[in-house]
Amino acid sequence: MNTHRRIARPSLAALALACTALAHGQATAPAGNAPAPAPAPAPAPAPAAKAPAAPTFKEVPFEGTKPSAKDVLTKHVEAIGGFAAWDTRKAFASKGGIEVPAVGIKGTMETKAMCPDRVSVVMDLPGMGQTRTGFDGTTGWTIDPMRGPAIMKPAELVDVKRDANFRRDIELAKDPGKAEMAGLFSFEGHPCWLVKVQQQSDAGRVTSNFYDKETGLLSGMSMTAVTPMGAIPVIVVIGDYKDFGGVKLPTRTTTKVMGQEQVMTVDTVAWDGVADKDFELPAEIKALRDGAAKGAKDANPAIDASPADPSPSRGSTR
Amino acid sequence: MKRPAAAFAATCAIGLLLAASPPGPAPAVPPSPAAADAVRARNAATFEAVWTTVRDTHWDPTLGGIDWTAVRTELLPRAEAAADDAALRAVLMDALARLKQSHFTIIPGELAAAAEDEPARTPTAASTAPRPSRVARAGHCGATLSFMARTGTPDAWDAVVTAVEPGSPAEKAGISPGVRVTSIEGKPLGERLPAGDGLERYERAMVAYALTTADPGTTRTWRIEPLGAEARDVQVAYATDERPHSKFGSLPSLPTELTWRHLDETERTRWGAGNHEVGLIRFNIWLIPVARPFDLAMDTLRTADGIVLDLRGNPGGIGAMAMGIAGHFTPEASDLGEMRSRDAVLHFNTNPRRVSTAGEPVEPYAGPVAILVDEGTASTSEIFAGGLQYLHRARIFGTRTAGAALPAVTTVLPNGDVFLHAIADYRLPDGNALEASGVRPDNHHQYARADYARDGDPALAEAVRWIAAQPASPAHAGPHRDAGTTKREP
Repeated sequence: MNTHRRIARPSLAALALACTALAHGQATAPAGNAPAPAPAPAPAPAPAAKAPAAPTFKEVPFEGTKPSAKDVLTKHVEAIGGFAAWDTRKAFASKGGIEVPAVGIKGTMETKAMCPDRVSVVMDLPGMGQTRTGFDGTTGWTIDPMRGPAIMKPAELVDVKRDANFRRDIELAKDPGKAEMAGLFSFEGHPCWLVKVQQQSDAGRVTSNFYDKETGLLSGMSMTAVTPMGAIPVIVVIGDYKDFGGVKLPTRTTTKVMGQEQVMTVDTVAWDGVADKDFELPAEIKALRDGAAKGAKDANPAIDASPADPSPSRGSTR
Repeated sequence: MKRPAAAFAATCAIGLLLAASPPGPAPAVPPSPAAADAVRARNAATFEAVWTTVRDTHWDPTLGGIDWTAVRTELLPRAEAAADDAALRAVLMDALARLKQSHFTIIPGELAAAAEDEPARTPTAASTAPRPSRVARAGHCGATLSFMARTGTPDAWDAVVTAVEPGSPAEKAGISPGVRVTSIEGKPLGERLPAGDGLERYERAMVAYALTTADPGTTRTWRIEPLGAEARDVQVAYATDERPHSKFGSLPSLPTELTWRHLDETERTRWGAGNHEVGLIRFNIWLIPVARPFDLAMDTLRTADGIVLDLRGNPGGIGAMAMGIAGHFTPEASDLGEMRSRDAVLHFNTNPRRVSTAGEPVEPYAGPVAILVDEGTASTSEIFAGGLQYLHRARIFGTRTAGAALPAVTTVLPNGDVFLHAIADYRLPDGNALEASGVRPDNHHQYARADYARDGDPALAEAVRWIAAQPASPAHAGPHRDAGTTKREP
């Protein structure tokens, strides 16, 4: 099951850094105001450093015959319900939550997907408003309150096209392509087989997938995500698998990026109720696409109206 | 003209809230040994959380050469012994001040937890000590003060009124731009201010802002010296900040306002713009509630001969918003600068805005853009202004910005407070840092009191004159014009 991979890309919310000059230290609480030192024993040794930039996985010794990449990928599919159960799934809809603890925001997230590769994601975060992302099989797009509407560039589209296929794990197990076994690793404290995955559509990008040695379930991934701000190394931790109508899905996905975390949870899953209209391009994206198609060199009409006032000369947020 | 006075309110609103946060109540009876141990343990855990967070997430593992272990050895005992949260915060801020960088501060838990427009909660769930309740909204008088270096006297400053909000208590008290304020409640101004030309500028701005705020209903005596007139005392009231407030994550509830308009005929005539259509957009903080209004303003101002963006007193906000707003003025995706953390480099790439709020295709605005800044312009505002200046896409007017521009995140501490800490350095595409140096206006010179008395708003006046001097560009749909310089003073 690949829905976790679809949402593994860090949303811009995770990068919504608080570039706010709250106050410089001295101005907020002058050092001179600090109370006089109290007599006390020497402090305990400093806590050991955690190195956020270091990988959260490490190869561990293994003697014996390693399974093939295809074996590991197949075991994963069997662990999440098997090929037969997944072959009947053509559409997917889930509702859940998203949290960015580093920014202190927590909201809701709704996902719809349809074979082979269409997807629509809506996130509502207090203080940030609604962010929408989608891929209709041709055009990848985002509308977020921070950057406005945008059509994804080719580099971003590679990730989206790959992640939009919610049955990719099934297809990967059937046709592993360039997948290769890289060894036994400790990932988040659990022994996992590392399979490096690269399909033809991945434009040369390799994803490192970690499969639990005992359960066969996908435990996480290491990859480079392409965002509008550039490529970022990302670690994804996947867990809390639950049964939804005969197949298992992870209900908790933690994306670690730049030392911060983005946590997504799944509360409900449905396998129907998804229609073509769910993947139609929003009007803003159609305008961008059409404008780009015709060059838009002369398309600069005087827009003198806002929805609230047909001909304003001033306005405010009040 | 709408004032930057209240705009500047946001500049230091957070800082003021922090500074004004009352200390925890003194215990009526000595705490039991068990309670004292609990407080001591909580204090230690809080200090350790701050200390290790800096050690592990600061983009520079060397912390600029600071002996961070020595800081811990020195301050952890004081943190453990802190009698209340206020004392603990003072110790934490002492440690963070050693970094000599912006975006390292402690937000009291009661402020971070307060919802929009609501009093702060009390106590916080994570705190073992009761916290006082307080209303997050402050009062302000509607004047903007700025400390201007006194010519010929090192480290001496004149407090000068640089703007007065129409209809505000300050205006009703007879205060106007250019007036010098020599004392408030008999206490002389301009003494013992942080000297220096780095982050001290922002600290002085915060002090100036604090003087214009007080609890709503307060009245204070200002001694003012109008140009060419005798000094006199005036009574200045402080009124409740009635602007809309909004909240983002762990940051306190903050006033959030955007206003936009066309300059009227009187202003255009006064500042030499004749029949030029000039738009003015001012917003006091980079939070989501201003994003849509900005788009709407651009839809209306798209045919203007020039646009002025007033970022004076704007302390920043959500960094990613700079990419969306800048996209209104960049025809192609353009790099405003880069943030560099320990493990990644991200670019603030603009998103050219090619669709209106009505869903119609448009081109990003190509006419002249002027940005007004001052020492209260910080962080995202500096990323935006500095980036557009580097791209030759805007000309900067006013006074040098705060030099407080570091991408930061928040962490909730064991005592319920919130730790805002920078995780990345920020550089313009040419490698120049904004931190400490700030954005220098293209017309860098110090305004005099007479400039304020004559023009009311000399920075805006200069910007409008510059726009009027630019060649006409029909529909502003062509290539963007060179409107600035990449030259930066050493």
